[in-house]
Amino acid sequence: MNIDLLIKMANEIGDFFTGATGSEQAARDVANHLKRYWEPRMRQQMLAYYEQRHGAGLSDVAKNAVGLLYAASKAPPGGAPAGSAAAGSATGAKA
Amino acid sequence: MYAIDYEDFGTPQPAEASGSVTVEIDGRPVTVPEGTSIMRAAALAGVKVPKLCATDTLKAFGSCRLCLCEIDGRKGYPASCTTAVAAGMKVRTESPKLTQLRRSVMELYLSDYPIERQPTAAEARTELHAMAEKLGVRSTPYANGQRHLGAPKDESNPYFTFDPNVCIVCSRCVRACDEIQGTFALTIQGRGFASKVAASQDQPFLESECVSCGACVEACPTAALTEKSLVALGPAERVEKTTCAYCGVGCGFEAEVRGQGADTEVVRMVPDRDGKANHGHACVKGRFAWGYATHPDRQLKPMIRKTIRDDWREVSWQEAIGYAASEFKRIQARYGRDSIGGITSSRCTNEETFLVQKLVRAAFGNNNVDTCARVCHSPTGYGLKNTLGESAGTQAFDSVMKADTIMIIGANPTDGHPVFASQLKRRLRQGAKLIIADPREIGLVRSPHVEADEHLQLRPGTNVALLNALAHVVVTEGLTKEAYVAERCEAESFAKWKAFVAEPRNSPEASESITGVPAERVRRAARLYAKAGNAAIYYGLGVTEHSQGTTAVMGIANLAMATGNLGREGVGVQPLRGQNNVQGSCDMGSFPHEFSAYRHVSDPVVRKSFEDVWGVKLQAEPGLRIPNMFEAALDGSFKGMYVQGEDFVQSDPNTHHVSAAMESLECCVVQDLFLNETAKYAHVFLPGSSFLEKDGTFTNAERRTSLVRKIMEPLAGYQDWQITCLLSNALGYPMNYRNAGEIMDEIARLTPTFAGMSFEKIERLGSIQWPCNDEHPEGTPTMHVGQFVRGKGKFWATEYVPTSEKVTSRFPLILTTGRILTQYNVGAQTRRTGNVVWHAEDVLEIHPHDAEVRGISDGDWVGLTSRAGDTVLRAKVSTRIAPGVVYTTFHFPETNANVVTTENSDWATNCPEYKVTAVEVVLVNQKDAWQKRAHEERALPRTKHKDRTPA
Repeated sequence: MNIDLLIKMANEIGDFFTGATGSEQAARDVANHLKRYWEPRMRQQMLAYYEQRHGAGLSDVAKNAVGLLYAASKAPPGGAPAGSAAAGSATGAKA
Repeated sequence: MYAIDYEDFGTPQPAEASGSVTVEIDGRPVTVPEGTSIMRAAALAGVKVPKLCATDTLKAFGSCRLCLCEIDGRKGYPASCTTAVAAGMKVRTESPKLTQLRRSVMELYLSDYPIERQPTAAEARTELHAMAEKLGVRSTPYANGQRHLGAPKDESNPYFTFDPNVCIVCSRCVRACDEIQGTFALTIQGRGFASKVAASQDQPFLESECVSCGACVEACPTAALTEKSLVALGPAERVEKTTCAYCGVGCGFEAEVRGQGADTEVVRMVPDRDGKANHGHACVKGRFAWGYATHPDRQLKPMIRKTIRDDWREVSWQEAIGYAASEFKRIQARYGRDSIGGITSSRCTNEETFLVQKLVRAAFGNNNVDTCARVCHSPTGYGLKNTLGESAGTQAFDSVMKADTIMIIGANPTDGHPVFASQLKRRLRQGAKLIIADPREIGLVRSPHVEADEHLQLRPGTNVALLNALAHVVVTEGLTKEAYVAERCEAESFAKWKAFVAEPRNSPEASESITGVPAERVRRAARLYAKAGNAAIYYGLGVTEHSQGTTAVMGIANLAMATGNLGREGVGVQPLRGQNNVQGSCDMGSFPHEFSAYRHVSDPVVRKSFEDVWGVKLQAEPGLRIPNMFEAALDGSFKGMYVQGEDFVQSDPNTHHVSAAMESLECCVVQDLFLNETAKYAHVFLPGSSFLEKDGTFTNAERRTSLVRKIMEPLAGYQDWQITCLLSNALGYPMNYRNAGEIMDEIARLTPTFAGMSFEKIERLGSIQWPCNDEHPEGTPTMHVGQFVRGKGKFWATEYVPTSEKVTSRFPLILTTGRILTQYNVGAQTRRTGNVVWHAEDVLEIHPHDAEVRGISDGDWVGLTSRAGDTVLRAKVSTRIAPGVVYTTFHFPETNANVVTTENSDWATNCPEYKVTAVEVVLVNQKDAWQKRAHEERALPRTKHKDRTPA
């Protein structure tokens, strides 16, 4: 997929959550959003880009969010899922 | 003229009666609500009082004098339509004197009516003829006097005629236009003998302000106003109830039909007086524009082709289905499980969309399913779910009749949702206040007897800044309903939101430079909304189709919660859904991350409930959304699509991009009525069925689920849900439903909000608003009563983030798009009806200033260019839009405004930003190159053989 478009999308998600919940919580919210709404190949491409280019072009919040997903992808099976701390805060209590 | 099974009580039921009254009519006692007319009471007692100017859809008028009666103790012969009952009243509706008076009145009517000639079939069935016959009047002693006969018949309207020769000037048409439709296009012109019905300034109907809703035709007691279809086909033989397949109002209809089996034909569509969404009203699309269903363009045989450059080859259903299934299997074997997907349609039934998403999840084995709501109201789903807890509007349409202030944001109800607009206008005429936030001067800003108290004419793309400014006034002027919020909302999120919107940068004064709306006007609007007893917000795609569409929906919910305007009648947050079943298609699990009732695919409990019933393992990861599918197609990881009833090559943004993606597919299966723009990229075409050819349900914008009934046999042999079953079975995943009702039973079993629904119950109750479950067995007209669905309402700080689509010296104007009354969406249906007489092409509205500096005059061809593409269309110079903004519709593939729109989308849902595109407009003298190519392609024969014989 077009990585520039994915970067733009991630940054815009970051813009919303930065304004809504503050930058600390926002990274977790963005990570959670990417996990719940992005199809795996979109996330995988973003993670590969993150690994190769260190997230160049991503806003700080989006970069931190992708970093959380990246860390989770490298965690041993059974580890805490990325963005789990944000679960429920960004996507509604009854989702 | 009435539907053939309709009983007319003469006058409406009194609006709000405090008690009841018992009277005696022709010796029959009857108890009725206070304020009931004698005519209505008589009808309820089984006594039919002769009448001509009265009908129970209109207020009593007292003009025709046929309904005279005698009342014990009262002098004279009062009109029973305008005289209310009183306790103990004794009324006679028949006596020698009354008969004599009525006969005299009828003779006077007939003195100016061609009674001597043989009536046409339509005339013979009118109330006038019925009354004359009842009174035994077959001639008139005044026949030699001056008459109006010989006046020309107005045949200008494509759907009905006006013959002044048989008009009795009873005013029913004029009153219907005023009271029901609210357009005030008709009048009685002249005085005395010169009186006549006139449209606008005595113009032909087609040239007048008439919006062709047909209310006047239905109200006419003679054949002065008559449907052309009725004249052409003759009277109907029976009536079948069904639901309109156009906009999200979801009007109930009675299809008047004749013939049996394959010979069944619709004579006319009459709005159902029991329809709870429309109460007997309709618009030009629903009432008249159904001819597309039998249009010669219908493709009625399945077709296949190896590549999209090949000619189509008509084949049997078996071969087409077999080919589609084998191609999908081949693609998955070669490119992987996730390389194919499916699209559900908001024009199809709940049962059909449920089956398509089931096919994708269970037979394809992935979650790559999406729906056209992606490009309209997906932000509504996300925004309302995360604030209030449910992805749907909060009210019934009738709720508007209790609203004191109505705010309309980014919606154009008179064009997009005309039947609701008529109800809205009734409330406005009663005195409700109106706030409109729209870059364009929509019809409701100023129309007869309706004028917006505030028109916030904001710049496209600045909704969130405006909503924050409104909230700023509410918070800083102490207009929040603190007790309501304390009881029903999260304290922490409310405190954060309050602090956020109170910041000076969110004030109307600070945001004026962003929105272009004068601060004082914003302040007045905020006060009008917050101080109303009941304030309701209605919004449309002008809110959702932005890069901050979801943020704006959240901003709207914030405002409503903060002012206590949720959870009862008269208030609420109501998205005006574009298509007939947008709500339903979303409810049914058409989004790639959700099962039915908006439950995430990652939820193991929910997933297991589906796995248990469907007998397969389901995926826990979200699938691709439509725009993601296009991106994946371009990178080679997505190769096959099953598209039921959607034409995204025309409807989705950045057409060249979409076309390139579609060209890369190895198998696209299109199931539709017509060979649409998407079918240009299809390898298999499966002929679908119209709403007249299928059983099922639609769910409208007020969560109302209504039955769609098969009026005629499917022209191509199968209902759409049956075709999905054929495909699924060919793929090896069995679907063996005997009827659509069995699919609804499965939906109810798996969907908490539909748990109490069945075809039998919907039939019995007429329609049901979900949630329908043990707690609300007959449905839920108003949501969030007592508490929000999510528990505590959640506020969100909605930071305004300007769109990245900005005007530049190269693209100095902003294009925003919308729709028009007579055309519908991509126009596949309405372009194949008489509606083209009103709107035969898309035009570009441009402000006189912007036109003048470019040397553009009204009607000129202009080139419209953005960074995504170019198109050419005619200019319409208009002050309805502000300088710097241009506007067009997207109904015609010949223009295809989406060649110009961009890939920008809502941050949360990828809903395209149709409403903001930076463009330039220049004077040109010929169409664009792509348009010429497209025109040539359309002119080419698409099939080697084509006739209308079903396969």
